[in-house]
Amino acid sequence: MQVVLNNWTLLLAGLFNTIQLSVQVILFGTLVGLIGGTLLLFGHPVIRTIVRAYVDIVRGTPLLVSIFLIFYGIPALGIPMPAFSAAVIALTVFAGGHMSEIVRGAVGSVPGGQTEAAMAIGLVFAQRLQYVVFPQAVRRMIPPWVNLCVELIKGSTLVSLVSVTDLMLSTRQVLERTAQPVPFYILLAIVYFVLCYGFGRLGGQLERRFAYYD
Amino acid sequence: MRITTSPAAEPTARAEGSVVVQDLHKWFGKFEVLQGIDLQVAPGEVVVIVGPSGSGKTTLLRCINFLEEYQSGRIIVSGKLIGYREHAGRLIKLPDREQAADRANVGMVFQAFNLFPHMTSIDNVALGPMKVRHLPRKVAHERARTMLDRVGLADKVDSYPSRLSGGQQQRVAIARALAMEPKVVLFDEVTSALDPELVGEVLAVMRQLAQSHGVTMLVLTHEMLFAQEVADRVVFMDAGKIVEQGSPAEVLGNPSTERLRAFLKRFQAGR
Repeated sequence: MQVVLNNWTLLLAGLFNTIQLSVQVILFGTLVGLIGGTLLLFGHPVIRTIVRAYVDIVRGTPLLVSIFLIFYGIPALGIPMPAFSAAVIALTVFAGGHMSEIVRGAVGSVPGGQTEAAMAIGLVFAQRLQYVVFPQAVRRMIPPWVNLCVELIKGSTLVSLVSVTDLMLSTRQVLERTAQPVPFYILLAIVYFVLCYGFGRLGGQLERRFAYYD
Repeated sequence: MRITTSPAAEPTARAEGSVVVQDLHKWFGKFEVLQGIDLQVAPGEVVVIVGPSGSGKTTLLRCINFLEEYQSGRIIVSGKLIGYREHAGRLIKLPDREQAADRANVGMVFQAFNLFPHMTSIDNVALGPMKVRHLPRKVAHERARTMLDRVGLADKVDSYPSRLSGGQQQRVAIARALAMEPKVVLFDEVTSALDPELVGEVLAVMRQLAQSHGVTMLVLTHEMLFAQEVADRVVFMDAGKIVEQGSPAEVLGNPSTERLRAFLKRFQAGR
């Protein structure tokens, strides 16, 4: 316990990094997913094929591999890149792929009759998406979106392997000064659980808010 | 067999609210759903189209609102070719924006209502006037209120569709179509998905609309009584063709083809 208290600034900095990383990745990943998912459904066939390939590659490769690939690969191209940025990019690429599939599924599951009704009153494509399809798709997106976000928060621990001092790495740094790793890992598990469970609850609230029309 | 043109329609073919279908062919893959449809509808006319399922009547209606593309022929509403422009004798599809403008002038009511579930009745009805006609919110809502009042739902303006009965939902859908002030309204089996006790309220709204003679109505229905009372003309379609048409009394009372006789008989047996 004393060790925790003695090193609380280090641990807090780690927690802060984890939260910062997660928030950025969720934001960027969602943005990529909205664009990717829309392109998968309505894009030009060539673009659709490219996005499809991106999604399939991301879904078929381990997250850790893409983290290493970007961490070592981008500097190898002569572009200097801090570890944290590499981590954000790697996780965003991962999140964006999965998010694209979620968005595609949700938007695609809005019944065709909705689009036809929107067409029948003379709305153009962008208006049909904005006023009719997306508002209904958002609600269908929330549960898988929350799942993915929770996976991202947990998956962010992998960035500790490329020397990003997130909560995982900072905890490991502290526990190495002690002979008792178990209490630290229990503490770590609790903190991640609280983060993820809290996010899940937030998602539940969001879901209820979007259920207003039932 | 009766001849398939309506004498009244010819001189008004370019008038607001007229519908002219010329030699319309449509294929779904190898299957020719519409095999040369010719139909002329005068402004304000109420045409009821009957026929067995698979006869192509729904497809015809969807072509008129350009929810369906077609391979050859012409559909001209209020004197304007719908969904395409003609270039060197070929049909070239219009860009989305111009297709939308064509659709905005033709109302459509669907079998499955297709109300927007995330909007209240008034928002459902006001969406088109606001976003397509660019009316200010206040004016659009005023118009939506008037329309909902017309279909007897003044007390349901703020209800979400999930809180309405099927009949009420369909009446909101009619109000939504009328709020665009279309000259032509298409009704695609609008009572088929309703419980029997709710059919009457929807038909009453349509009857009232027909009697006002403000809009041209093309109605697909299996409600023969409605056809008998309200239609100016009944058209019988079968296997992608118009087989017979004329006044309700002629067509329904004294069918001249075996196919229509069989259809009506099957129909009565099924009731």
